[in-house]
Amino acid sequence: MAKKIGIDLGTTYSCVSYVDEMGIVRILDNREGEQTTPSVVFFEEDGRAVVGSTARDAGAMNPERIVERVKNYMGDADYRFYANGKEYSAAAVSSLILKKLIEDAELALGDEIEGAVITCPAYFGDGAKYATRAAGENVVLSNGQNLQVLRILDEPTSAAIAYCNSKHEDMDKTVLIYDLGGGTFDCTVMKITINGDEKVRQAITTGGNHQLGGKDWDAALAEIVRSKFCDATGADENEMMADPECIAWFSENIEKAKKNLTSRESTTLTLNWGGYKERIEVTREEFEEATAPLLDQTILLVNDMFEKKGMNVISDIDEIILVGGSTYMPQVTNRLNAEYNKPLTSYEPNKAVAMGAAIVASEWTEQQEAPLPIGFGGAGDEQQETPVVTDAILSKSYGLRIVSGGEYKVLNLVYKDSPKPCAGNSADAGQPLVITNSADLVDEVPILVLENTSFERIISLDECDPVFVEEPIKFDGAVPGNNAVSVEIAVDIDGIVTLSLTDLVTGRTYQMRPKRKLDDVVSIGMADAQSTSLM
Amino acid sequence: MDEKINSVPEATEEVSSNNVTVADVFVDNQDDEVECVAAAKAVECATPAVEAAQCEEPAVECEESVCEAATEAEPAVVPGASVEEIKQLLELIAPHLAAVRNQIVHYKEKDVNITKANKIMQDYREGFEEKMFKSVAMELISLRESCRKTVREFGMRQLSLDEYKKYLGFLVYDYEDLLVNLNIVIDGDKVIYNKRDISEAPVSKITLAEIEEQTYPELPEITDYTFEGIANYLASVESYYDSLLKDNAVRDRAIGTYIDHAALYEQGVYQVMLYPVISRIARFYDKLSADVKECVENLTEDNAGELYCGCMTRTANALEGMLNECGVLIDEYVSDSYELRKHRLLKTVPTDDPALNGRIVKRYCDLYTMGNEVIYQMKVDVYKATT
Repeated sequence: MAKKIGIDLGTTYSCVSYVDEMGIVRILDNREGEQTTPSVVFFEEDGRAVVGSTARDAGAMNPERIVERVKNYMGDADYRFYANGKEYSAAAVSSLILKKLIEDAELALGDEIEGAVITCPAYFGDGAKYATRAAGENVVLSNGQNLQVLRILDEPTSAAIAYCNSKHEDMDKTVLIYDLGGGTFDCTVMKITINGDEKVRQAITTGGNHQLGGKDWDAALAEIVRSKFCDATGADENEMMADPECIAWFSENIEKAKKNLTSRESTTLTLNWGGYKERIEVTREEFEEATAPLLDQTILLVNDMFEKKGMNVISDIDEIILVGGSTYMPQVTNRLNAEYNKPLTSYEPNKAVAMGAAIVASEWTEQQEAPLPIGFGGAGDEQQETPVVTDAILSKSYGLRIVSGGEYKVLNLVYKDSPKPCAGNSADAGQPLVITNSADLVDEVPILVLENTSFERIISLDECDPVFVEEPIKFDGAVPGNNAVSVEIAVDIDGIVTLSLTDLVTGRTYQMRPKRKLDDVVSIGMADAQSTSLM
Repeated sequence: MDEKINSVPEATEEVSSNNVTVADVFVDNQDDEVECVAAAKAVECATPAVEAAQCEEPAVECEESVCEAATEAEPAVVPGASVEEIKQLLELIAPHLAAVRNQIVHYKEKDVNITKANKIMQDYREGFEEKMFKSVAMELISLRESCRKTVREFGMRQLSLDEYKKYLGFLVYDYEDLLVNLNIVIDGDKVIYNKRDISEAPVSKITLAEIEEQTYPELPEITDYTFEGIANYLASVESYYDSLLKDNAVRDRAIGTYIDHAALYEQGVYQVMLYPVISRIARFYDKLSADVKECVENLTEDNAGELYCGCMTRTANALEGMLNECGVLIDEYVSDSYELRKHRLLKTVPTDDPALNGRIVKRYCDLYTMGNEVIYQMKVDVYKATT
């Protein structure tokens, strides 16, 4: 029977999981026998592509053919990668990574895959999520069908789902998920209610910094070691860091040293460079002192998130769940204890996100149809009705450009942290529109839809980013130009935005055809990616 | 037996399709060689997956078909013996061969079970190797490559005697770090690994790899149908089966050893397989300390470099032996050209000569593999053509 899986499509590493017949969540090994696959793609000269660990090796001689960290560009309409005379969007490159993950999963399971839940960072806006879904739908399965993307799921929510799933005792808790990974930091507040077999997960708010992670701790430790070595030997630090063999030594030994400091008060490394040898001792105290500002940043982000929501960790949180490999460091637990004095639970730090995705995939039923696949020219033709799933909340607010006080501003119609799917319209917000002053029929509306992270009703245009290309947006029908109309912004369960227009005189509603800047871009390279063989 | 008889008609049908029958062999052919080949062919037709004279089963089939052929068909005329005498001889042989066959079948079944156990143990070992041996191997590799780098870069800077002594001392400290990282504690004569005293753990004298490498002799063939020839044939067959059974006994013993170890230690059954190499790693500390001490005491301006490099080299060689015991293979060459998976590129060196593109300029370390897995790539600089 075809399987549904969860995919943690990471910036540096990706992971696939599924729920087996016994209800146990399992991580699938790739064909190289690894539980995580580096999110790296190398384009061979013959048109084939290599994805994963061997991609870095394959691309070492030709680094211009390697793509890494493409996830950072998923919402970037200007991003292109060129190889073999072809160009690829970020979505097309991600499609190759997903293709590798799916092929390996089918091999590991010995069964077809029919659908997948794909995770993405909470900070991803409409464009990045749209591109992620398109990347998934571009994958052709072994049965010739395209992959059904069941959901695009926020990573912290996914981790919370995995945690919730592991609990069997009745509970009614509000938890903070503190997710410190290798390259990103996310925090989410979620309410979990378990009553017998009934489990309800309700996301409340989310925040984070996608440039902050364990790699910053590694860099700080490397700096300590380098500094001590150069002080002891007189070696030139710049020369050291220009030596590839020295760089390789640091990459092999620093993470190991950091892990040693998790269980010991100090660690010693012998660095051999330029004819000098020194044994460098680093104490946990030194390491924690050097990295305290990094930890402070995470605390500030958590406190800021609570403040914006009008909440308080100490009064509103029952427990803090630690996710992400970097939370193994004692300084994290010590600091959270000192700051908040709440029970701390470490739950599968390296696998929780993938596990949550698998759980959601396994819960998917035929009644819960995913939104129709997105064509590369616009949003889906119909809106499927889906039940409100409260473990998913908006990570952004969405609104329309208006003129207020003689200047452009943005009127938010749907707000960050609202459960998905959701919708808001301009009439309810007190802003019915008139398209023209003429009674002539019109079939387009000159509006601009923008996204932001504010909870305010009206905000400055500077704080927002456009979701769609600025041009009159067509709709399926025509209305007298001087009829009052209302524009509705709807956000589906995956966080993807659609628009509709209601003629307030006739009561008729028309689907709008907004154009994303990504619409012309996301398809670039998709056909090539689909037909590319993986080595 | 009945099954075998019942299978003969089928075999005959298959063989008949090739216009050769068992009966035909013994009725129509006088040539011994053709008889053997035809008999083998009959066996092949009957059991296409089995190649005659390659392993036990076809040996059984061969013997059996010979038995059955002997009981069913008229024996060939043998110089020096009458047909009746040959018949009697074959009747005497038949139960003997049947007893041997039963013994082989019994051991074969036991072999199947042992093979299964072998496989399970091997799977454990391979899975275990990945998790346990590999972590041990990585520590050994790190120190070995450090020693080799020291020797390779010797001369980069003029060292003082104090620096020689200091760096030699570092080697001992580095080895102590290795012991700590591997959770090995040396307490007098005791070796404590993961808080367990493994000092008395028996060391296997034979490994599965050694058993599997053993080859089996060819099954003897009867070529001389005189009494003496047949007697010699029987003797060689007995000797053949004897050696097979002994090899099985050896395999039994090895499995038994592993099972005994597993029974003795309940925590992490597979950890038992680490004990021999852990023991060796622990015992090397004293040798290393003594070696370094001797070098330090004998250091002079004239011999410092030689003693220093010598100590590093001896340590690297000892670590190589330990790595071999972990199942790690070390390759100091690999190839002249950059190879995916095996090489880790540190930097490219530009060249105008397209023929040099991808050629290795410099090797910084060895390649380390465990089974099919590369566990530590060889770091290299590679030429890259600018045209």
